[in-house]
Amino acid sequence: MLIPHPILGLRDAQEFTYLGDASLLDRPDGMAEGASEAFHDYLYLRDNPAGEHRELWFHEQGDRSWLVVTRNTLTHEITKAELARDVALARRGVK
Amino acid sequence: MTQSNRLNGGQIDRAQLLRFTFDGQSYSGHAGDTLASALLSNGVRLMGRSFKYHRPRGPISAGSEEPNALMMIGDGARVEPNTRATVAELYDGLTAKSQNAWPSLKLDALGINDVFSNFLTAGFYYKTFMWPRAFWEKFYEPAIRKAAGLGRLSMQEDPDCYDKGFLHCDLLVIGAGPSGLMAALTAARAGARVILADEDFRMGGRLNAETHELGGQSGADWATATLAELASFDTVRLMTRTTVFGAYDHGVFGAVERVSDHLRPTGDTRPRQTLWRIYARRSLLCAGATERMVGFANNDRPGILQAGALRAYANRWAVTAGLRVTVFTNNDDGHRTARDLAAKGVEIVAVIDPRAEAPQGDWRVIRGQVVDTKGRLGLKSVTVRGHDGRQEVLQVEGLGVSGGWNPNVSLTCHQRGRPEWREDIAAFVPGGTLPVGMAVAGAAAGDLSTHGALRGGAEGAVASLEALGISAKAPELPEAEDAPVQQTPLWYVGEGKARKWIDFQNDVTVKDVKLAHQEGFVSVEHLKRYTTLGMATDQGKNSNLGGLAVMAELTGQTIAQTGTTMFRPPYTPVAMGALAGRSVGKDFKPTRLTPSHHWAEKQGAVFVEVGQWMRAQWFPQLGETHWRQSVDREALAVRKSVGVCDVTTLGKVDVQGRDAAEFLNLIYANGFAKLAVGKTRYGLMLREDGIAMDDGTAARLAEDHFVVTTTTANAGPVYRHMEFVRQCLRPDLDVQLISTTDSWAQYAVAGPNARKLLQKIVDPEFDISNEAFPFMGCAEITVCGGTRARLFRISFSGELAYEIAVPTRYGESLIEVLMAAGEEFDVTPYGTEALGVLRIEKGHAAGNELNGQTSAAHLGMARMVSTKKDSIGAVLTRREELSREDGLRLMGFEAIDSDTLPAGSHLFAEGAAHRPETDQGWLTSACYSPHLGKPIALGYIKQGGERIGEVVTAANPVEGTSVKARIVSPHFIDPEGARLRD
Amino acid sequence: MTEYRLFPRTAFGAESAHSVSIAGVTLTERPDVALASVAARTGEAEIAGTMAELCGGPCGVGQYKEGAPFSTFWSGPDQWFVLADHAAHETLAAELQARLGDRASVTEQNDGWVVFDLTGNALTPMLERLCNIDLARFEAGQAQRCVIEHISSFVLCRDPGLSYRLMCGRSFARSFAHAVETIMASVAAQAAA
Repeated sequence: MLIPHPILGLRDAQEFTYLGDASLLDRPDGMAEGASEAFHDYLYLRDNPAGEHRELWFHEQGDRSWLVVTRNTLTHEITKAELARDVALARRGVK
Repeated sequence: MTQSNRLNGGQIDRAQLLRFTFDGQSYSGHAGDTLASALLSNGVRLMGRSFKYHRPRGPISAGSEEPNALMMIGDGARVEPNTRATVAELYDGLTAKSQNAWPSLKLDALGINDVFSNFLTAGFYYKTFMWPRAFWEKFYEPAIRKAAGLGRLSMQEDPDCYDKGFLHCDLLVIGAGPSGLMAALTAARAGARVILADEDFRMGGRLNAETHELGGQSGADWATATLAELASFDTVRLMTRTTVFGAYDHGVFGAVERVSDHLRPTGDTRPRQTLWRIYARRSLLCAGATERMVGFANNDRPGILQAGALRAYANRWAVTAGLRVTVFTNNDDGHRTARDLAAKGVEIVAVIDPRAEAPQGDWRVIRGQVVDTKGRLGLKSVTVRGHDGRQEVLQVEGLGVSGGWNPNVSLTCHQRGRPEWREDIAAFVPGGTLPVGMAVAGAAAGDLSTHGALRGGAEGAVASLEALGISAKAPELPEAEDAPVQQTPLWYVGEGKARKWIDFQNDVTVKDVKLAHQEGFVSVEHLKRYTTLGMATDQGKNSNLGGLAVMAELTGQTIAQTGTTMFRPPYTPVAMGALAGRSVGKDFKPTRLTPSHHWAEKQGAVFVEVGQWMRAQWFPQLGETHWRQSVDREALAVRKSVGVCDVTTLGKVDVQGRDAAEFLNLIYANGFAKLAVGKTRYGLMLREDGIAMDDGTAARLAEDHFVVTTTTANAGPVYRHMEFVRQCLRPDLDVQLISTTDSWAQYAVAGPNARKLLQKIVDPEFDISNEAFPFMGCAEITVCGGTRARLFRISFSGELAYEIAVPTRYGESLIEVLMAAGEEFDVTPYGTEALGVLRIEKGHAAGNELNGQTSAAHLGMARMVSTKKDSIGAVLTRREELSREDGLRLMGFEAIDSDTLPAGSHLFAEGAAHRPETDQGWLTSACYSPHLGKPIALGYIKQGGERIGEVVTAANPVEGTSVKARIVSPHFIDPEGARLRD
Repeated sequence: MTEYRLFPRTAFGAESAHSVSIAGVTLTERPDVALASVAARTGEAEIAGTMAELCGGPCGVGQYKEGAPFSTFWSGPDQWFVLADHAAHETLAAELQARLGDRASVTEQNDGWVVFDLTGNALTPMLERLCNIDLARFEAGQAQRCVIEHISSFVLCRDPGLSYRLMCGRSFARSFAHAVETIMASVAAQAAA
């Protein structure tokens, strides 16, 4: 597969390490009430869609950026790749 | 032998005579020959035995789809089994042997299988060798494997080498027949970067095999001229002998280039093959078509070929399978074989065509069908049934068969393509979703005329480039044959009781398909697995359609309804060596060397692989005959005086930034915010699920600068995790990370005399006395008159100990200096074994204890997990099951009356049965403690903290041992830690 | 005063640079290159300007800028590697830190990486067998991280097809040179045939 790196352009997926669902960006607050349940859901409850999936890839053999890649799990079509840092910062802004 | 079946003309170099042997017999051929064409020229038609029935076989094709003429080519370790003689390029000195025949190809003892063929139909093995069950492994399977099967491996190491590489292009054209050449020319003239790849050693495809003209030139001459123009572009790469074997995601292709398979081995440094990974923005599949055979009784005799192959042998290689030939065809193309062979002086006995409107020629045309053949080791006659019912026997040596042509759709299926049935040519054409960026042209797209191929290639290239924003113009097409092509199905001839082969390589017949149907295996996928149809090295190129057409007829469905099985990579077999490339033997993975490596080599160290690193395991001294002697000596020397160990392999990550402390506070379970500058702290890193991930130390060199160490094995994953936390979880923090593992040569200097030794090399302005530089101190200093260094007062051994780091280029020099300066203390270099002994004696957890199952509580570190802050894994490590008081605890174990205490042993209460439900834990690390004089271990045991002094059984069924052990504190040495602070 | 002195060794444990030539292609270790990595602190991306002043021009994504006394290449978002002469700038990291102050995190990398120069008449056939770089598009002044025979590396282009600078982790030096030299021999034999 080729991943359209937002800075570097198309790069072979071999250069990347896969982590999983991009919902990992939404880490709960460990000091909040009900943290135990929140972490259970955060860690163990994942969607496994046949279709569009947002997932985390690390450009280990590249610029060491974590990316959020939107990939169709049926066709491997990749419709979007963003710097995870930007996505995470935008989410923090919303909160 | 003379080349009795050599004709005139052809694209061979008659000036070059090449000698070769087949089954020990010497023959000659010419440059440009394949092994098959050279053998045919010598009158050899029998080239192999079939897989199951050991039927005598000759080639049916002149290409890579060949199912029969499989041989072992080469000598000694270079023997390559199952090589298709039809694509093996002849070289002087080539040796080939037939396979699957004993004692000889002509007198194959297992030809007896053919006589018992009634018992050997599809599913035979499943049904017959079921009972008694125990016989399968011992008797049936070995016997069947010996009888069936193909060539044999040399069982020696592959003496050849293989390269790998990466290529990039705008347009990859797969196949260099008329459509591929025209596509490449169109794209090249538009300035695009083009790769044209073809599996053949001569580009041109069918143009080399046909006699029709292109623009007044012979097809082969036009191809040569076009290739000359293509070669003039530096944006074009022409890759002959290159098979594009797989189409992967997003325009990535796998290809094998046979660099020197066609050359006599010379032993130079040239690779045998190169595996290319091709990145193509667009691809055009111009793979042509494969001619299909017709199922009729005894249609597998040597001398029966595809009509197009017979013609290719005559036109390209100037050979014929026999001097008297007939053709059996249901389409006009088959008649060309008669025309071209007749023009070369071969006697055409007749052309048999079941159609009423068959074309006529200067030879007899019989309206009818072939119903049987004769000739055990080679075709002698064919029996023809005329449409008027008359039967006739024709004495012939060669029979060309054409049931029409199948587009080569293989690569279109490698992603989500699903071929579609086209009724007008009775064949599957590419359909469904093709691999990204792929288009198909020419015969592969079902365009079966030469003009259609040229036009399709040009238009395909224009369209492909247009999508890339490259404007291309279709060149003027040379005038070429443009006969309308219609194909009507003729899958098999009903008449005749003898077997009618569909899959030559796997010996599947029409009858087998009928049996599969009768037994309910009617879906194409079941048919394939029940009969093995299409499962051989040719992957069904010749047979799939025939088999499923018969099934369609039996089920009363159309072929479109029946569907087809998918083609997967590789298109043709790929040598394992090509996939391995240079990563074989000692080059399987790269090796990392420590700064003291060369020094340790000189000391005669024994090395061990730790991940990619080579580390000194121990340093044998004169007179030591057993590794334990060396290891015990090294460990004791550390406890007694001082030892030095290279610990450079520990991962080092530079953590800087205004929020570096807050960052470490998040990634470590214990607190780091208040760590003072000049201090080091042990850190426990948890996974978010509460399981221990890694441990190490973090040294605060400045307010905004830490150096974090990781275990050797986890350096990569921990760095990745830290970047994840930095970029994905806390992008608001100001923190920067970079690995510095290789930058610093780091040595542990451990033992009561460690300080005294270091004081001899540390520059005097740095006070490292116990008061000035206490336990867990860290500092940037200079040593040996000004060399930059870092000093950490940390201990893995439990002794007074330091780790000292200098820029790596000074690392080898530093160990020499430490040895020289330490002479008065009898300084001892120690390896990873003694390092392990020392840390087990001290009760430090390492990789064996951090095995992905253990929580902070299991490690006895529950109290380290701060409740005053949020950190990765802190919430879930407090889960009930991971933190219960009576759960597993890391404890020490001492052997009782035993000289062994094997790691991996499971722990049971004394007298309890050794069963999973009574299992109370396991030993993680074990060693002989020279200090205590007995075997000791670390391990996890339930309620460990409350059981000190209890005796348990450590049972290791794998090693057949059962040993008594006493539970003790994991800190065998100095549990109060006084030595560390001394 | 301590009587002991430390002496440098190359990444191959030798006193002089490793160098191998096969059929007009030369791979030479460059122990005389000092290295440091520079990462902008949060909100300090404009240190790119200071870096440009120091290194003879701006160095954007995927670029390699040669200058005197400092050369630099881009290694990640807001992150660069700086190269200089080791004899004159052994404390390159400290020099850069002094210039950049607390706007950047600077890390000494002198011996984290080993630098090689690869020169010859036609290097494309070699490099396309070593790394996944689109060499026809890889121009002078470009830098790319990639994997060479399982080893994480940087490839810097000085003159396309003729001169490149290769870098890998210092501990990999022997395996890396072996991999490159194996392909040098392979390509030379194929060209001679």
